[in-house]
Amino acid sequence: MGVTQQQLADAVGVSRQTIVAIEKGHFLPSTPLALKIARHFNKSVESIFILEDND
Amino acid sequence: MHNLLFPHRFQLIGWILFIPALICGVFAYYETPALPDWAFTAVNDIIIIGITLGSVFIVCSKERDEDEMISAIRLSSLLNSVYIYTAILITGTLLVNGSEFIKFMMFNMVLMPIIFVINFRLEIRRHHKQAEDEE
Repeated sequence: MGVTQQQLADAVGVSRQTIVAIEKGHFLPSTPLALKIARHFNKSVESIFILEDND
Repeated sequence: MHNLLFPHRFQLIGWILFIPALICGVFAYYETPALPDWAFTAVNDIIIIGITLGSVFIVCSKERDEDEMISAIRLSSLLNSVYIYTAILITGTLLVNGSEFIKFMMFNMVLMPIIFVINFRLEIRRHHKQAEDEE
């Protein structure tokens, strides 16, 4: 989508390391953070985050 | 959720308290210093307060990049520290007896903060390394 990890991190108020951990599935973001990320991309939360069987 | 944390500069103060107190503690543990009573009491107080207060400042100060993941790491490190501490305490209680047990209990007093500091710093290091590996 043409957004760097750092730009997304700055936009939602977390560190780039946290964005990396979310991308890799090592960290589940809180509801407010998930909503902020979704809002940044103008998408719904469900289109960015998928609930997996082991969650 | 808002956690009460010290400003980041307290982390340096924490290390300044923690490291010398830990070194003194290790020396005092293996060889009781030949000091007058008042000095011996003072050294003990300095060691215990230095380690406990230092570790609180290290672990409970904001990181430069403090966010919800750092809070999650802090919480999980505390949980892991409780498990490790409990395992060491039970093992020590079963294996150490007599006068050595008193020494073990003294060591045990500062064990939990020491484990917490080590655990938390290792986890934070791993967290930063994951992002570096991504580059």
